[in-house]
Amino acid sequence: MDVSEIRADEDELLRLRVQNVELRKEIALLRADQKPTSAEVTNPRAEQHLHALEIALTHSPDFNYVFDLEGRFTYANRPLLMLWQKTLGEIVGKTVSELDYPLELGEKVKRQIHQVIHTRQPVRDETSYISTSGVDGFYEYIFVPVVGPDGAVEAVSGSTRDITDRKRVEDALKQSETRFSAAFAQSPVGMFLMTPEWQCVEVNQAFLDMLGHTKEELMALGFDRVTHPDDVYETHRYAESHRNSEYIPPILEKRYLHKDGHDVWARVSGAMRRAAGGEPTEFLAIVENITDRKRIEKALADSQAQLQQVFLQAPVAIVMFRGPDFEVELANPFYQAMLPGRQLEGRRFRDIMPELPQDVFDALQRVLDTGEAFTASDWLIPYDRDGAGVIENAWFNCVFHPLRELNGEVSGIIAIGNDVTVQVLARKTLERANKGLEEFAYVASHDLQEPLRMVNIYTQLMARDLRPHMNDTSREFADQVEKGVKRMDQLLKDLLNFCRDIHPDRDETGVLQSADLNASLAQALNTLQNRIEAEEAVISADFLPSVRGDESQLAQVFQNLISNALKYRKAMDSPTIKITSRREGSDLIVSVKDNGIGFAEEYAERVFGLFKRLHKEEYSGTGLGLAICKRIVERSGGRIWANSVVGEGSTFSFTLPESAKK
Amino acid sequence: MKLNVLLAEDNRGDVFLVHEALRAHGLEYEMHVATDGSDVERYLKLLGSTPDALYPDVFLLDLNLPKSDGYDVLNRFRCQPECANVPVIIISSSDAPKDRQKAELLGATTYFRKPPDLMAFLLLGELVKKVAGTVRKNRITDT
Repeated sequence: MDVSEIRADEDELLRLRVQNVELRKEIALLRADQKPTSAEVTNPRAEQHLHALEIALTHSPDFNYVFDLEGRFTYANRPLLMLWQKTLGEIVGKTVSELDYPLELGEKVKRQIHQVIHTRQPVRDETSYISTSGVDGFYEYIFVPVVGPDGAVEAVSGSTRDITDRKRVEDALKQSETRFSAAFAQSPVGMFLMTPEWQCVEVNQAFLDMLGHTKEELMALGFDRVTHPDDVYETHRYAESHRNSEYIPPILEKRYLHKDGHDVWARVSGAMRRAAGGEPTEFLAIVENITDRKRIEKALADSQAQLQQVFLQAPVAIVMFRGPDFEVELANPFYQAMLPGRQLEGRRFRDIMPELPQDVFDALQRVLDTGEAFTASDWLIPYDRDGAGVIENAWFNCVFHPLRELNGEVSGIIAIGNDVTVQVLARKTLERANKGLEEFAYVASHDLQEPLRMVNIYTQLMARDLRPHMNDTSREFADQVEKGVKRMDQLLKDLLNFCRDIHPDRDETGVLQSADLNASLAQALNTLQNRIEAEEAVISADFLPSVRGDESQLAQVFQNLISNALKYRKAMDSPTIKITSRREGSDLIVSVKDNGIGFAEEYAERVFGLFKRLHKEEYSGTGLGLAICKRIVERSGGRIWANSVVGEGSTFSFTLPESAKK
Repeated sequence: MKLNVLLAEDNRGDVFLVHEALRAHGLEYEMHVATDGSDVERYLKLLGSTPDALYPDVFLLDLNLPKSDGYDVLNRFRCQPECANVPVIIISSSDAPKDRQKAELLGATTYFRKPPDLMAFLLLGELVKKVAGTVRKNRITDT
């Protein structure tokens, strides 16, 4: 019920009251007239009038009654008697107290009757009333003095109206108003009230906080100025549609401008309150700050767009299968390009590529059954590349990943396939070439060693048979031949060693095997034992880590480095060789340091070259030792270098990838 | 009694050295030299038919024969019932493990790598003496 309606009701009530009081005055007068002394008692017109008034009072919905000057009832109308369940005779002459009014109320009524008598002014009041008989309600009443012709108060007329229902509505309304203003003030959601002419009436703190303005600032600026210019039109349209009761979009998403200039995204929902006649009275807007949600939405949209880009542009086949028949739900352009002319989406994988080997379907089925991802590299999957009916070999790196429903059930598979045919073929070619090279080296060394063996043995035979006849010069010649042959033999052996295809052992997954460097070093020291003893060398070594590589090939590296350290020793000092390992960043560095003759730093690169020797005459050697070291280290994924100072010694260092297995 | 030696070797230098080695160890021997695979085959066909072609007491085989694969020759030799137990010494310049393994697989008695040194080469004589000696002893016991 509207406040204005209530007000209208009250006016009406007052009007009725006054009417009532007037009636009662008349009754009182008429009753006074009933006294036998009055000539008018017998007046039939007056009797008739009295009767009409009696009927009117009796049928009034209000309770009407008259007190005498002592506060005793002299009259009560029918509704009141019915409420009391008493007859008129039972109440006449009784005070309110005697009629079981609650004590306090009884006292108040007595006081008010006195007040009316003394002041001759009506008294209006309200009271709640709970009677012993269980009547429970809220009442409004008025006591009016009944003034006689002499101006003295003769009686007090009362009228009481049950306003219990109205009171309840009023209370509810009051409560609701209180609740609304509390919600309005304390709501974490922005709110404002406007007149239908869009004058702001009230705005809450949450809304002000959202925009960073004080109430005064906002009022001074006006709402259009705190709305993003691009959204002003839309905002007006939204508001106008509310006012005009047109189709109302339930929610307006718009941008406000924060005091510091940034956009505030908001969801606005409005409601126009209307009077009973339908004319708009007040517009209430609820404004939710959705800037964060917008930001998340944008981030999500961006990441989705990126994923979409990956999906569209990735140079690998990506396909999404659904259901037990592996129906293609989604396939990227790369996959489509792999299968020109084949319809993919919505078809069963087996129908799309019937030529595929069974193990592909088996692998998919396993992923569906177990929910475990499947990966394979260099997988031979022959298929009909151009759809011409010719099945060609192709190799793929594949990942089949299960797609799960919210309940965890595997309902599909995302399959990614990278065509590595070119790489596999290149590798196979390289492997063949390497194998060819290995065979070549084997044959070459054999074929070169054969004639050398003959030269050597027959020189020996000749020396044996001819020695008695030889002079010093020819003996010298024979020695030179023998030296040359030995050197050639060593060269051939080293060359064969160098040419041997150093492909470090790998396990099935292509990872280099683990090699214990301590074992490699021990193997090298064992080989060199005689020389170490002969040179009286002191060798110390750290505990070395395990690396990825080939243990015996790395032994060769140690052997060559230590052998060099022994060879290029100083004449006077006994060789001291230190083998250490340290970590620098992600690199594992192993060093072999000696106290030998050293070499100038400028040769640090050249020493690793093929057949490069710094000391041709004084020291024996083929110039292949360090080249072999370099080749082995590099093939194992590391690098090797040297630091040296002439007269102080050399340090050879190499890096190696650390073993995954500890 | 002279030792019957069958030598399959195409390199004259090595044939001479084999003679040197056998002599150096005081062996009395008859030697038939085949210079290629078909030579060996011809010899195998004649075996036992004439007094000239006696069953060998020892077969020295160079794996690197022209016109045939040394392994084929070895295989065919072993397939002759009379030669099934004759000791075979592979003489080869190869030191490759795969060659040694293959020779062993085909039933070679031992493997002699031709060394680049004279004294080492002459040790072949000792090897022949040892291998043939065992067979001889067995034969005497048999008869």
